[in-house]
Amino acid sequence: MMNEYFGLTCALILPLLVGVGGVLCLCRRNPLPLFLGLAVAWGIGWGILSHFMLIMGIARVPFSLRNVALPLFGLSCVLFVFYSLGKYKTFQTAENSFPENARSCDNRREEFSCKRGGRKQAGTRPQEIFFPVPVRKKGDLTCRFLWVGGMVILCSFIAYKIYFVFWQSLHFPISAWDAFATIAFKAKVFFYDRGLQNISHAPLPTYPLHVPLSMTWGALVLGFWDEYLLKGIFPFYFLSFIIIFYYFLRLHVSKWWATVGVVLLLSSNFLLTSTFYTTRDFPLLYYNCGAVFLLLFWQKSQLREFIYLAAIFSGMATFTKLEAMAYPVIHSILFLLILFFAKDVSRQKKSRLFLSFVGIVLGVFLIYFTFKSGQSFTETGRLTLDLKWENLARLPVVLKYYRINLFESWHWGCVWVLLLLTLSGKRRLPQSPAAMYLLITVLMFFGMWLVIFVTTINFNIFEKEVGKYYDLPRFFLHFFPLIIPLIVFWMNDHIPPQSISHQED
Amino acid sequence: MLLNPQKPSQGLLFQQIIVLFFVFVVSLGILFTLLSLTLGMGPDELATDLGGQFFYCYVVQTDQTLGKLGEYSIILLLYILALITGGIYYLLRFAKRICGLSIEILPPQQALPLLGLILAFLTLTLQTSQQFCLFQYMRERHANKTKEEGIEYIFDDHYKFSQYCKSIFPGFYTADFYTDIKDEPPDDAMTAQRMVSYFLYPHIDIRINRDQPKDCIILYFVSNAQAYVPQDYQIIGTYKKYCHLAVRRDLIHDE
Repeated sequence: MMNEYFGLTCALILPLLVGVGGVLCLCRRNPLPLFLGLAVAWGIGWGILSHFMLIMGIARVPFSLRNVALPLFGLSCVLFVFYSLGKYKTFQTAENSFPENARSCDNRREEFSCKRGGRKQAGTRPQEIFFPVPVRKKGDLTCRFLWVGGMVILCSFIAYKIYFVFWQSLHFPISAWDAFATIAFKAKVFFYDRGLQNISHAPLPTYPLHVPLSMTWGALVLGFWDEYLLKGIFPFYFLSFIIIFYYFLRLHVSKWWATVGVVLLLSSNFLLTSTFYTTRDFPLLYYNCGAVFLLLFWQKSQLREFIYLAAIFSGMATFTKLEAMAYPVIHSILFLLILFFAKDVSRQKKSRLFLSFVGIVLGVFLIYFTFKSGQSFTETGRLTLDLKWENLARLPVVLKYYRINLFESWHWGCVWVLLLLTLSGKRRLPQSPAAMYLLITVLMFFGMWLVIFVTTINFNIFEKEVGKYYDLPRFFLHFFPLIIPLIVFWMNDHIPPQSISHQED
Repeated sequence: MLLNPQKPSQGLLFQQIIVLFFVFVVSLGILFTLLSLTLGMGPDELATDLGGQFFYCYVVQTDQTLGKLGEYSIILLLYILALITGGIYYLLRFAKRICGLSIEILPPQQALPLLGLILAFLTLTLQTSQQFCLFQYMRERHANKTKEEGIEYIFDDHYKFSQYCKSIFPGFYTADFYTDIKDEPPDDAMTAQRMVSYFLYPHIDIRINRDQPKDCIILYFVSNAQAYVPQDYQIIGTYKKYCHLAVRRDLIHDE
C-alpha cells in the first residue's frame, strides 16, 4: 500500500517539477509567491507532460516510464539551470546599472501601486503585490476575538472540504460515466498499447487528450492500472485552484473576505463533486478560470509574466475539453478590453502583448489540432452550425433551463441568489475594474453557450433528463468561480464589519 | 458611520447586527409557523425534517436530488424565507420612519446582501452537517474494504461478470456485446456496455478493434442466449443465469 502511494507521489512530483522549472524561467525577474507559483506550476507541468506524451505518440515512440520520465526530468534540470543562469545574469546587470535600475524600479512602484481593501499599497514584484507591508490596526479586543474566531471557523470549514475531496478521491474507484466510457477508457487503451496507435478506434477520438494522457502517465509510474490511485491527480487541481483563487481575492480584498470567498466557492455541491468525479470539467475549470485570473493579475500588476502564464492556461483549456475550443476567444476579448482601458501602456506595447498572448494560445492549440487534422477521425458534428429562423424558438427553452439550473437547483448553494442580491438595485454595478471585467466575462460565457445551444445541434442536450440537469451545469461549472469575486468585492466595500475584517491586514 | 472603516463604532455595529439577526430569527419563526400549519407537523419534527433535506448530493443528475419538505423544495423555502425577511426589514424601516424609533438599521441595499450571506452560511452549515454524517457513514462502510471489494460494491454485476469472463477464458481476445437491457431509464444499455467493456479491457476488447472478426460474444443479461449465438460459437460459461460468454469453437479447440 505504501509503495502504491509512493508511486502516486512520484507520478505527481515530476510534472510539478517541470512546471516549477517552467514557472521559474518565465517569472525569473519577478518570481511569484511560493504557493501561487506551485499552484500555477501544477497546471503548466501537467500541460507540458501531456503535450510531451502527445508528441511521443505522434512520433510513435512507445510510452514507458523511462521514455517519458527521463526527457522530462532532463527538461526540468535544463529549466532550473536556465533559471539559475538567468538569475545570475540579472544580478550582474542589476549591479552594473544600479542607478537606472533603481529609477525604473521606483517608476514601476508608482505605476503599479494598487489599491487593496480600501488602502493604497505599493508593489513591484508579485510578492509585494500579494503581501504588501502589513498595516496592523489596533482593533479592540472584541474585534480581534471575532476576527480570530471567525477565521478559525472558516479555515476549519475549508480544511474539512479539502480533506473530504482527497478522501473521496482515494477511497472510491473511478465511477463517473464519462470516465469509464471515454476518459479513463482511453487512458487504459493508451497505457496497454503503450502509445496512441489506436486513438482513431477509441471512443470520441476528436476529444482532447490532456486528462487521459495524465492518467496514462499515472499508470506508467505505478506500473499497473489502478482504479483508485489514478484519481489522486484530480484533487491537486482542486487544491491548486483554491490557491490561485485565494490569491486573486487577496489582491483585491481583505484576508477575511478572501477566506469568505473560498468558503462560498466550496459551498457548491456540484463543484465539490466534480473535483473527485474523474471528468474533464474540473481541470478545465482550473485552466479556464486560471487564465481569467492571471489576465486580471496582469491588469493589476502589469507584469508581463502573467500574460504568458494566462496564454498557456488558455491554450491548455483547449487541450482539456472539446467545448473549451471557444474559451480562448473569450479570454482574448477580455484581454483586449483590459488593454483598451490600460492607460499607462503604449499602443505599440499593447499590440505586442496581445500578439504574444494570441501567439502562445495558438501555439498550444495547434499542436493537437494539427495532429487531429491529419487523422481520419470522424467528427462528432457538435460544432456544425444549424442556422434557421425556427431555431429562435429554442431561446426560451434554453433560458428556462438556465433559470432552473442556476436558481432552482442545489448545485451552487446560495451563490447565484447572493449575486443577484448584490447586483440588484441602484448603483450596484461593480466599482472596481476587475469586478467589471469579471462580470463581462461571465456574461460572455453565458452568451456563448446561449448562441451555441440556439445555433448548433448541442440543443439536443435539452431533450434528455441527464442533459438538462447534469450536462448544462457542467458547462456553467467552467466559469462558476468567476462570479464569487463579484460578491466578495462588493461585500468587502459595503458590508460591515470592516473594522473586523481589516483587523489583520 | 459604521460603514466608514476609519471610524468604526462597535456599539452601533453590535446594534445593527442584533437588529439583522432579530429580523432573520423572526422570519424563520414565521416560516416555521406557516410550514407547521400547512404540513401539520410539530416544530421539532419540522426542524429535524428540514435539516435532513440539506443533504449532500454525490451524483448530481436530476432535480430529484433536491431535498423536499412536503411538496415544497427547500430552495423554494429559502426564497420564501428571503422574501419574508426582506418584507420585515422594510416594515421595520417604515416603522422607524413613521414612529421615530431610535434603533439603528442598515440601508436595505446593504442589509439584503448581508442577509443573503447569513442565509448562505445557514444553509452551508446545515448542508455540511448532513455531509459530515454521510461522510462518517461512508467511512465506516468503506474503511475496511479492499480495493476489489470496493469496486464490487459499486459496480456489482458489471465488474463481477467481467472478472468471471477473464477467469474462465484468460488471454487477449476481441468480442461482440449484446444485452436485453432496454433504454429505460435512458442509456442504461449503453452504461452496461461501457462498464463491462471498460473492466474487460485489455483481455477482452469490445470497443477498440471493431472491424476484426470476433473471438467471443458477451451476452449480458440476455433472456434467450441461443438467439445470439451462431453455429460456430459455443457458450463456455454462464454467470447468474442470464449472462454468458460464448467463444468461437476453433479457439476452444486450441485451448
